[in-house]
Amino acid sequence: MSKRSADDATGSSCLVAAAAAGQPPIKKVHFEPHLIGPVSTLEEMDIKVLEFQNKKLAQRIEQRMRTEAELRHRIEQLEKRQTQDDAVLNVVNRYWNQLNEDIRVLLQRFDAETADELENRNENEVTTSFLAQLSTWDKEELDEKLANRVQVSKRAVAKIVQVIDRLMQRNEKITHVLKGDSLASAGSGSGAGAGGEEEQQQASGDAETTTSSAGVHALEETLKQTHIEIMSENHKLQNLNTSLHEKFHTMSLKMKEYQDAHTAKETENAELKNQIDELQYDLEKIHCRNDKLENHLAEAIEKLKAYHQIYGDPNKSTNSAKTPTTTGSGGATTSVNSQLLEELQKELEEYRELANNRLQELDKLHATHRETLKEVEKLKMDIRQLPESVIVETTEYKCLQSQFSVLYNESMQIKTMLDETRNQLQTSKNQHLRQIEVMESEELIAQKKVRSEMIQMEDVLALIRKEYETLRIEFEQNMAANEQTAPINREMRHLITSLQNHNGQLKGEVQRYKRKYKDTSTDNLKLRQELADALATLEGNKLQAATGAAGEEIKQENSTGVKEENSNNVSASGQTNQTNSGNDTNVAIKEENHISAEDEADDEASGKDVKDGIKQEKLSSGDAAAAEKKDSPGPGNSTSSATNSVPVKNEKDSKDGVKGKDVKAVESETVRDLKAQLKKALNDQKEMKLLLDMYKGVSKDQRDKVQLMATEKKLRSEIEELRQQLKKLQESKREERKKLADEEALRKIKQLEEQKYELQKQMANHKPTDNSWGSGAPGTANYTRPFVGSHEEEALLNEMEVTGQAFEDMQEQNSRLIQQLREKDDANFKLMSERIKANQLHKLLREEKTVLEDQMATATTQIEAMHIVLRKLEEKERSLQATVASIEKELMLRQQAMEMHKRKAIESAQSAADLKLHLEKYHAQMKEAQQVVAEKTSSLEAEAYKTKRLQEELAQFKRKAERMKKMEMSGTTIDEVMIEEIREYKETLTCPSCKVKRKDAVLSKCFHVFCYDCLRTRYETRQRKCPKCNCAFGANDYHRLYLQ
Amino acid sequence: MSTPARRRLMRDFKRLQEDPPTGVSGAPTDNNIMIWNAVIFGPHDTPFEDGTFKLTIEFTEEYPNKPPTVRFVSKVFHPNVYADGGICLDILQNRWSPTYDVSAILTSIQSLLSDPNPNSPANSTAAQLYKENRREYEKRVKACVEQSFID
Repeated sequence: MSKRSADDATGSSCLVAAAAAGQPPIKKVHFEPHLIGPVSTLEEMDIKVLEFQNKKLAQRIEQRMRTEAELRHRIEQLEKRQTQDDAVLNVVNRYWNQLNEDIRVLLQRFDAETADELENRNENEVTTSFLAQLSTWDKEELDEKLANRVQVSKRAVAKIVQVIDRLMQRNEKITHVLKGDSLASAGSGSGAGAGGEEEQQQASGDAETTTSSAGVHALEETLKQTHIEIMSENHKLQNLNTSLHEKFHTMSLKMKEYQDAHTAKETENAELKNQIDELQYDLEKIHCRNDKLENHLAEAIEKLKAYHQIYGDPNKSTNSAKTPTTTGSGGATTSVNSQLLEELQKELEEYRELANNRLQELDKLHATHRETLKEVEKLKMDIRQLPESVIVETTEYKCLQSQFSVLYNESMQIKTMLDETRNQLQTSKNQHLRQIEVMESEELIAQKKVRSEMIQMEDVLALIRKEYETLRIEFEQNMAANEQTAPINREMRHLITSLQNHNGQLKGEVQRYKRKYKDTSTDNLKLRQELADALATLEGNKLQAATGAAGEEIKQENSTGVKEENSNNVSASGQTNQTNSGNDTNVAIKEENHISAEDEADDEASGKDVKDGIKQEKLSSGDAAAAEKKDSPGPGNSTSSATNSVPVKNEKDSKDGVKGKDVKAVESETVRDLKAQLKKALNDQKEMKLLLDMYKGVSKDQRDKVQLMATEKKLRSEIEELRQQLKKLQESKREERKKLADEEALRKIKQLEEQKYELQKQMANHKPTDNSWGSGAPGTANYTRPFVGSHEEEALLNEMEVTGQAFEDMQEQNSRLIQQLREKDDANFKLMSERIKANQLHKLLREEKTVLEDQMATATTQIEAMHIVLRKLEEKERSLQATVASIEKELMLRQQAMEMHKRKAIESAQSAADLKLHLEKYHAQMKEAQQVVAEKTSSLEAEAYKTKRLQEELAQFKRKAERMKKMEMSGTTIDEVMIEEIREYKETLTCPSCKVKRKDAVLSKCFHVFCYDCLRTRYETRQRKCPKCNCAFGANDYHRLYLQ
Repeated sequence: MSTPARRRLMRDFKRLQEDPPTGVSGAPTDNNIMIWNAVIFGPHDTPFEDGTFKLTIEFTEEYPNKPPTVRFVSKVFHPNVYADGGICLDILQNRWSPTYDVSAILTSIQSLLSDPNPNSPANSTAAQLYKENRREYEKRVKACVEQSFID
């Protein structure tokens, strides 16, 4: 890059130098003032620039002046020419006017039309101011006007011609008339035309007068003659016409040629015009340059003159560059330099001589080189024209032959291979066809299978659909039935719930009664305890009696005890009826009557009491009906008892009766309640029965419901029965308890009786018969009595059992119905599930169907694809067959060609062998020649190198010479030279980058030398390239350099 | 005033005074050495002959490691000179080397005037005319040379 710039700089300078060489010293002279005057300030620079511009402008003005002068000269010339032209024009105009005038005069003389006069007048007016008008008119106008004028004059001339024609005719007529007058006797007129006829008429008129017959003959003859003449003339004219035609053709052809030539000329003309333009441009340039050169020359001459004036001696002063020889001729002061110069010149001449010698040598070498080249070419030609025998004999040819045979064998093998492959191809083709057939058959079978499967599947689908339909119908029916039964079921359920509630209520009541029973049992227990206490007292009394052994006392005591007992019993139990009290009273009456009877009565009473209590208890707790029956006579008993008791009424008895009445009232209330309940239950039962009957009247389902209801009722009744049983059980329990208690009491009584018996026995010592009878009778009475109530009970129980059984049956029926309902529900569910299953099956089948359809579609598409493939394959097959055929043809051709080539090869092998021998010979020659050439070229190169070196040396010397010349030119002392040298050395020592510091560092990459600071800054600013050669350098590539 | 750039510029100016190159001249402005005015005379045997083209050269403190910005003040019709006077020259851009000084810059611009490079045009019309219609190009250049007299 730096080199490039340097080159540019030097190039520019070189250009300048070349320019200087082309137009030698003037330019240097011209430029030097600018160079020498170094600019120190801007003003100075501006001044210099303005000076330069001024100069240039002055030059230009001079140029312009010159051109102006030239132009003026030309203008003068042109003016001169114009005056000449004007004069000519005036002359022409004058003549023209004269002509016009003459014509007018002539016309006037011949009495022509008056219209022409006007024109002529106009023309006259025009002609008078012709030149003035010419100057005013434009080119086009001028042309038009002139054309007008020419036309006018033409017309005038035409008229004159007409006039002249007329004159001529008149003249002819006159002449004819004159002739007719003169030749009237002759008769025969030679003339033709109108005038002639008149003459003839005149002549005939004359002839009629003179000669009649001979004239006619003559006339005929003359007519014939004229006819012949006319015919001949016609012939001539025709010939003339043809000849004229020919001429016209030739003329037209020529015309065309000339036109072509004209166009060609025009183009040439244009080209020439362009050339002229260019040449004019060049000429202008050259003019400019010439002017400049003239300027420079003038300046130089001026300077020279000034120089001459200053130095006086022209010979010495003209040493600038024009004539170095003059300096050598008379230079006294520069003798040393001239001597040196002469020496240098001599050296130069020597070098020139050397260079000439070298050039001659080079020429010689060139000639030899050319000769060798020619030889080589000749040898090449010879090689091309080698004989065959030479080639045949060579080993290479033989090798080629063997190779050829090998190749031929190979080709034969390949041919056989080709046949085999062809066979294979055919077999494979057949196989392929078979395969295709097989595939087609398989395809057909598969299609059939698929179709049959499809049909089967469709049948199955239809069946399933039917099944589905039936199932659906069933399901719908069931659904409808369900919908019908649903409200009934609801009612049934409602009823059941109500009944259950009722049951619950009844249960609550039962529990209430239980509680009451418990209370009563506790009361019973209390009474028992009291009874036990009473017994204890009784025992005590007995013991007292035993001890006392007083019979009456004992009786009384017994009676009182019994009474007490009875009263106690009645009061304590609170359950004892009025019968008890009645009995008691009876007993008391009996006791009063008979002691034994009293005992019996007591026993009876006690048994009755017990029985009554049991009965009453039973009635109160258990069967309402029995209680009713027993209770209803209650008041009656009370009345009877009251009647019984009327006669013997104790205060105690009355009191006991009051108490018993109170108890009775309570019991009666409970009994009533129970009765009412029973009635209700009965009513309910009746209602149920009614309902049952109602339901029986309704449909089966309703009946079922009714049955269900009935079963429910049964269940209820069962529940009630169960409750009743429970009550019975409770009662039985109570009874048992009571019995147990009674038994205990009886036992005690028995014991007591036994004791009594013993006592009685003891007594019997007095009265043995009473005791034995009395002891046996009451026991039986005691145990027979309750049997009457038990019968009723049993009847009731039986009824209850029957009802219970009925209830159970109902329950069973109910359960059965429920089961049936469940079964139906299950069946429904099953049907539903079946339907769902059927639906699912249907869906699955549909899906299967779609899948199968898809499969079918795919199968069909596959079949189509297969068909397409088949077609393609067939096409391929055809194409392959075609190719096979073509290949076979090709093979045939190839074989033929092969044979041809074989023959050729044999021939060529022979020729090659011949040629090879020749070639070897020539190769040897060639090698020799090449060696010679190489030697010569090497010597030539050496010479060239030498010449180069010499040239370089010459350049150095030239430079030296230039420097010396400079010194001479400047005419300065050695000091200045030295200063210049010093300057140069300084420059070489300063860093080329900053041009300020000394060189003290080197780049080890390219070995350019700079100052260390510059290199460091470049390294630091990352511009790590040599400023001179742009070679990249690194941190370790710049080193200090110690020049000092 | 003693920065390396300024020192270097002083040295350049001195060198320019001592050994002035042909047809070019330059000087720093009176108050600032970093801005120079220069003049290039049109080289001989070119259409730019007789023209005097003024330029401004602006240096930075990084000079000579960075090139200065050179700009024609006169109007110049040239393929490598922009309309605003900027010059498309490689050594003023990426091919700058610190070994160049003001005289080298000016001489290379002068040589650019005589040998334009129409392949990297800054003035496309000038480049086109230079390539296709040399006569018209010369006419335009001569017009611009005459313009330079008036400036």
